Amino acid sequence: MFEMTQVTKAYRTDLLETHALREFSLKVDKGEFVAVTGPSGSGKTTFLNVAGLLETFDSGSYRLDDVDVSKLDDDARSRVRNHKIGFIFQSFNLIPDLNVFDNVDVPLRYRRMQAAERRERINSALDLVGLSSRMKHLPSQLSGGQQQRVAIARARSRVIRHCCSRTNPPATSIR
Amino acid sequence: MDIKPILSSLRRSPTGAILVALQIALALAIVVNSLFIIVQRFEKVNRDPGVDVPNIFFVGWVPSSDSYQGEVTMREDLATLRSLPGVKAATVINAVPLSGGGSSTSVFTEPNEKGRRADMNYFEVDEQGLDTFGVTLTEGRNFDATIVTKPPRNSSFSPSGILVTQDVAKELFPKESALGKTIYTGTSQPVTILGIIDHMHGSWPGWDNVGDVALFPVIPDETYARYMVRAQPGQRDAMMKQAEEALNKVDNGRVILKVRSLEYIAANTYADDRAMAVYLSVVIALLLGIAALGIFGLAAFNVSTRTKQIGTRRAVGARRTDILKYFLAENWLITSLGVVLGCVLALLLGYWLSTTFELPRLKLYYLVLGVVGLWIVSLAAAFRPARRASLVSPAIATRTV
Ligand SMILES: Nc1ncnc2c1ncn2[C@@H]1O[C@H](COP(=O)(O)OP(=O)(O)OP(=O)(O)O)[C@@H](O)[C@H]1O
Ligand SMILES: [Mg+2]
Repeated sequence: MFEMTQVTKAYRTDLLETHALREFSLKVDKGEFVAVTGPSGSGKTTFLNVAGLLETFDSGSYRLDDVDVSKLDDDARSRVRNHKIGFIFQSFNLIPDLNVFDNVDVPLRYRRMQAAERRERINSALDLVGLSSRMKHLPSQLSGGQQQRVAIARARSRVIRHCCSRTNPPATSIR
Repeated sequence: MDIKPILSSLRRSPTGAILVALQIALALAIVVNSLFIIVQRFEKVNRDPGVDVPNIFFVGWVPSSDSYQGEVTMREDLATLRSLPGVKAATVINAVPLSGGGSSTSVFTEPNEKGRRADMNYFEVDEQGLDTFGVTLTEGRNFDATIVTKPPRNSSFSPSGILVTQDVAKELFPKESALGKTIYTGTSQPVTILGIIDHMHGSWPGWDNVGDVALFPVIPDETYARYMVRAQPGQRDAMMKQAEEALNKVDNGRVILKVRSLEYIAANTYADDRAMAVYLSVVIALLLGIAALGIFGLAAFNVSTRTKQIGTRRAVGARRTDILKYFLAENWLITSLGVVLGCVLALLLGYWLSTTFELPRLKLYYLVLGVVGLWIVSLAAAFRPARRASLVSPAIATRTV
């Protein structure tokens, strides 16, 4: 359950104030698939940053799974991002010094998960995107599409329980 | 903290880390050995010389006219000095203790340079010598005025009885008391040990056997004689002035050259040791400062080149403390690599110093101190960049170009 009501977000610089989101409301139910479109500079990235708890907003309310996220402190927001939100960034944001396996491992480590369970999840996530054979490759040794699939595996590994559980996460591909 | 991903990331771009680790290793090796040398110098300067350093001063003089009459003149001068109310004792003496200049001779427990041998630093003094040094006897008695003699110039005269320190006594007679024993000079003349001095340093603070000292009941030759005066506590400076004035009033064919306190002379002798300690302290401070700058530089560079990565980590669930810990742990790994190398280097350097300059071997305690010190320095140096990293917004993940 995702519910934004009257959310406002403005960027202030010394010179001017940009209202990137003005009284924005949106409700998304479990299982729904939503695409956000709009002209350049209309506030899509801002919306997704707020929705992904990467940025705060000025006014309005935002409830995620019935939790008022505006009340959460920084650590709790990190926890929500880790547990409930999967990011597939436009430029994938893989960590260049880590191989494919370790990249998918990053969010799982922040969850303090046991090594055995992490390995299982990573393997099935990479299996799902067809990259099991590229586990030891560095991001720079992959094609663009492969890199994107690693990013997808990283976003999905958080929710895959053992092999092939099919609960759909609210995966957001931010553009 | 998981160090495996940090290690694999370090292995991908190791150059900066290796350079900083080497810098830490060199710093540790030099800091530890410098510290060790400083402490040794400090201990040397702060040894108890046994002598009443703060209250003693010396009067240098030379014969200047025909009215100079050798021992008679010296006795007159000593009487003048002893008559000053602030003077506790005074003697004529052949050399200045703790000055770096003096005389030594070898004695043996048997004639013809046989038996046990001791090399001792000797002072020629009169019956007030013991009291003027401010040293005490543990055994025996001081020599009295009757045996104090002024030998003719260039004679191979030996006193009949002398005082020696316990250090000398133990070297000559390790198992029994040396009191009353007869020892022999290099020319086999017998000498009786009249008394044993508890402890005193002689002329050469740098000498291993600086405590091997003897007092001879001899009036020294005027070519190197001077007066040693011990003032009542707290009156030294006043007595230095009064002594010069009083001696100048008496015209008996000698001129006063200079009046110097033993404190001044000893400080001069130890000046090199102090200078070395200060110099090495500066070296330590500089090396630690430079190491801290290197660590800070590398950490700051790593943070600024990885902002997007930090933002991404934050986006996928890292807390601020996770980021802080990541950079501190990375820095700790680099420092520890340097420290391990540095321990090896420090021991090698210590070994080289001890064999080349005959210094004592580096004590491991200093190594531990150095390691802990560098860990603290590196933690402090990396803390600001690591904290800056922890404050990177997760929004950087989507906003960076
Ligand atoms: N950090 C910022 N400081 C100031 N203004 C900002 C900042 N980030 C975004 N903006 C402004 O907010 C508005 C919305 O930007 P946003 O990135 O959300 O647009 P977008 O819809 O994602 O555009 P595009 O399709 O080009 O990516 C723009 O006018 C932008 O200039
Ligand atoms: Mg955008």
